[in-house]
Amino acid sequence: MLVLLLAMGGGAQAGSLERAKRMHDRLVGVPPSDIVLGQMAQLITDGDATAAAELAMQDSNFYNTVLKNFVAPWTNVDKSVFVPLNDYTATVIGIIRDRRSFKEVLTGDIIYVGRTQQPGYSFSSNAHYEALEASGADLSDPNVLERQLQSELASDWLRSDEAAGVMTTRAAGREFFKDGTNRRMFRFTMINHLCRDLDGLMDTALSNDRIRQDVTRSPGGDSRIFLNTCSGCHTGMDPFTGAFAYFDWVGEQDDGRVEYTRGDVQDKYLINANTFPSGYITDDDQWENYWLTGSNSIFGWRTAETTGFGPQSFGQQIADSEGFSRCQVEKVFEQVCFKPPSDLDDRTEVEQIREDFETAGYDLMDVFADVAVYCTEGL
Amino acid sequence: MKHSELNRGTTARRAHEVVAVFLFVSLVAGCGNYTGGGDDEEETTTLQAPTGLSQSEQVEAFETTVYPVVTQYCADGCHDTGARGGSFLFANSNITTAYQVITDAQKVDLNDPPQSRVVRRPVADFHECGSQCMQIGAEMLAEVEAWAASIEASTGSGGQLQVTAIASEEVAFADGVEQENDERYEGNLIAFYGFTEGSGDTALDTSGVSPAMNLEVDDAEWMGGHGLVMDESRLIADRESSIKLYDKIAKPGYGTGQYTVEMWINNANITQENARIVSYARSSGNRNLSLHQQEYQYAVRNRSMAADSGDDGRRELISYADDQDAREALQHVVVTYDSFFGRRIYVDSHFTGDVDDVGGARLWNWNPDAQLVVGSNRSGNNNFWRGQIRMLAIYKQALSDDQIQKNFRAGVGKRVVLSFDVGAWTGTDAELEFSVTEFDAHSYLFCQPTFVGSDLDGIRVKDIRIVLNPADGVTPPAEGQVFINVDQSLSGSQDQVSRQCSLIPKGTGPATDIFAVEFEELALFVDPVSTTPLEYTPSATALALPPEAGFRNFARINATMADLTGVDPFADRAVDPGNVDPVQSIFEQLQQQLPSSFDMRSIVSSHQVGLTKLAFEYCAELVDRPGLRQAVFGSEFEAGIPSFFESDVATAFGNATLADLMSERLTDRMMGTQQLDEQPLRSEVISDMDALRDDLATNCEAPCGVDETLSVAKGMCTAILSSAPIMVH
Repeated sequence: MLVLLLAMGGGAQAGSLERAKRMHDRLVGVPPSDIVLGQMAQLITDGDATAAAELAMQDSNFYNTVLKNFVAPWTNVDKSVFVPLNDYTATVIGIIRDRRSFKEVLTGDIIYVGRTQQPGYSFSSNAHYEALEASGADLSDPNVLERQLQSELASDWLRSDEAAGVMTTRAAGREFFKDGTNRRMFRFTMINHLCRDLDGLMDTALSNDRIRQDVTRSPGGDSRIFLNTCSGCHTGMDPFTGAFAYFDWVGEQDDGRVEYTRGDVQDKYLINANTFPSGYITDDDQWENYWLTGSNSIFGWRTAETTGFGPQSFGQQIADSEGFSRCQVEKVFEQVCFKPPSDLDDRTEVEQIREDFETAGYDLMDVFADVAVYCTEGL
Repeated sequence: MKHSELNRGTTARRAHEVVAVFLFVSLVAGCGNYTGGGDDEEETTTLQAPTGLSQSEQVEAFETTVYPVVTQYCADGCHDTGARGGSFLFANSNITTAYQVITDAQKVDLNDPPQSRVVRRPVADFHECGSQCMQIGAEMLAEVEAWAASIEASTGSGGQLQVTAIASEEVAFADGVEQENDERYEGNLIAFYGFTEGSGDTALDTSGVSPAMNLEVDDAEWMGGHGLVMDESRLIADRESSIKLYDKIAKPGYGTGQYTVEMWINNANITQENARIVSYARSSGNRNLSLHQQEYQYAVRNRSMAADSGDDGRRELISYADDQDAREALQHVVVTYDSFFGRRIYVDSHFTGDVDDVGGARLWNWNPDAQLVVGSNRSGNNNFWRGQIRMLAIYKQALSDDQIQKNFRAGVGKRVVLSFDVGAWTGTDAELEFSVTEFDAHSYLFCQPTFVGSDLDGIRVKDIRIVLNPADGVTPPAEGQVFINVDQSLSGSQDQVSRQCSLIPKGTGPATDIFAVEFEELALFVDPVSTTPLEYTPSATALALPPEAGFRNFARINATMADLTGVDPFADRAVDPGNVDPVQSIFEQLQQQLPSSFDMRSIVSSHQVGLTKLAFEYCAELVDRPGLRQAVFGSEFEAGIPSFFESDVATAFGNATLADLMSERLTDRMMGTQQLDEQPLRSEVISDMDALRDDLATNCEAPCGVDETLSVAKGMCTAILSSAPIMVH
């Protein structure tokens, strides 16, 4: 009877129950059972709110409901949550669940697939993940969703040092490599992992020397538009997008696949060359970070090498930055607190959590817990 | 950001002084004048500490080389204390002061030690040195060379001197040497407009083919770099001269039966429709040929004897929409016509691939009264094309692919070479040349920077920026600079450092604009650009806060309802993936009707309708399945024959104990047994549930049997499951 009473939160202080309930609701998306509520409240009373958050996150709804819908908007141009489970979403869920370095989302030779799910993983179909989702599979279970290597699944076309986490998944290719000039992959990587869209990244004061030939320098006969607007995005973006020069999407959106042409620049990088013939000509997958100076130096670039080849080193450049870590914390903050960091206290806390996140090996579960603790203080 | 102390209005002159200071010889009484810059001594570019050595090492290098000599020969009240009127205290007893003076005033030339002022003054000027001039000069030279050697040893690259600006001579655009464009193919040319006039009401046909088919300019604005800006404008040739086109191209027995219209144009936008770029027409609906822009497409009409050409050649050849051939950019657009292919369109020298299904035919039905018109219909009151026209040429021949490519490569517009003298910094005859054009009405295009000089070997160049109208406080335009990342050593006598072009905004215009070029490094000189990254500081700005509480989104609603009812939405699929789970299927149908965000302010009635419907599905599953409902309501409701759920409404809800228990069990199941501050009082919720139950039971639908008993339970379940205490979190 005493055990039951304690489990029900009989020893919890006033306020602990409310805090535990809020924490569970926000982290897991569903109300806690009486027993879990009591256990969490007791932990909070005992001064270990972080443990209470960790307890809540053991609920499978944290993965199947919260994380799935947390990540889903990252995987499509419309930023819609109403999209099926895919390899991008599954991989992010797996990395969080297995408490791996979150930097692997941009750098890892990693992918998560359904262990026994049929049909199996395919480069030209999302049926595997849709079946996994339709079955109500418990994504918190490592026996259901397991880690594999992209380079093993794609052993005939992608090496381990060419895989770059979610950027080289099928879902990302479907949305961000299809058609266009691959600048979309860069834009959405910035939106999702630096929390900035292009209009927040404009810097017209950088060199124009990597802006490709396909960008008109005189839109409608007015070069001021290029100088004051267009170049602001392209100065930084085009040097980075060299990383994807060997990637394309072939086929239709639903049954197509990522194409990787090692050593051969995709035609999409060379189209409309006569628009501005003296523009930059891409001849390999070299990328360069032009944001070491100027307004975007605020992202806190850390990697010694600020240029490289291919998406993996590009992903490393992004993932090593302060901006990447800060973005992850900000996203979690908004997810759990139902508001962006809104004042100096919030932003200072975000910086503290970011530092802890980096120090502790980029475990995003820690961030969820820390944010939940912060946002339920005072209840 | 570059250092800004330097008066950039005199950058070119100062650049010369940097070297000239070592060359100028003056005979000045007393302690002499060592400026080498005459009256402009105060403007001399400031030489600062050589880089490559630490500050103390730099001073030490001076202290162990030149300093002992100058203190020995120049510290007689002139250059030590200034007591005798000396201006430059490079022999001051304070080594730091001496060092600063000798570098700031450029008394040494580490590029060319014999030209150092401290050497030249005794050797060439015999300045205050009596019979020891040659000896002193030799000692000075040896020590300057030793100083240069120590710096070179420290950097491995000849050493560098830090200055506050490295700028070329200034050059006016108007002083540029005009370049001939690459040779064009001009065989069978019958009309040509380069639009070079720059002003006036006439654009001249300079083809030399009579009659000259000059164009009257109506409301178009001349561009600086050749061309006209068209905005509700018209260019038109008179009928008398326009007949040239008919005669040369279409006239039976004389015309070639083929033609080419070639132009450089820049469409103002890609939204204009039926915008007439060029026509040879009698009236708006009566044309021999025309080219117009239709948003992203180019369309060509041509009157011919072909059966399918349509009235007045109305049947158009239009470029494929998805190719988006027409762009708001400077384009080389060519239309050819011959009897074999019919019409063909080329954009930037590439055939668009659009095939003329009318084909070629004789042009004998052309109207000889037509006029050549640019930018609108013939009347000049409609179908305006907005954009820039930089060149127009008409041939009585369909140009070949090679000929079109040749003319594309030749480019368009006035091109000049601007040569910027940088010899003041290199100590040689080096110049930096750009090929410059007026790109459009707002910018210049500086292309292919190339160093030219008799000996460029080993000259370091880093970070080239073009300055517009240099003056006090004027810095290079931040935008458009392409050569910032140049970083190399030159070689040979001509070295192109980039194939690219930099876009530089126009200032006062080509007649008066002046340019200079700045460098971060040139030869031995360096003007470091700050590269300190910004540091993130959390902002104190407070944002308006959204509501603290949030509404569960669609997925959370579904998961919450599944959790609280105990209904597994995937139960049937787990048995067989082909099975249809009723609840999950309803959810999949409803999910986009449910809230997608947590923001309470976005909740509307349709959300409530959707989630109530979903709640009812869950509750129906719960109540219809004995195993599930027992877990929620308790075993009491399954006991007896008939049990509660097997009884009609009157019997079931006539049992007050179970009826009340139903309200309590549902409330506790959905809201939890703990009374939380932010939740409504449990007793009040139960009271409301009782009232609802009574209302549903009393007003049950006939026959109020077992099915209605289940319905009342489902209704009570739905009410609380879809209520705010459950949905708000």
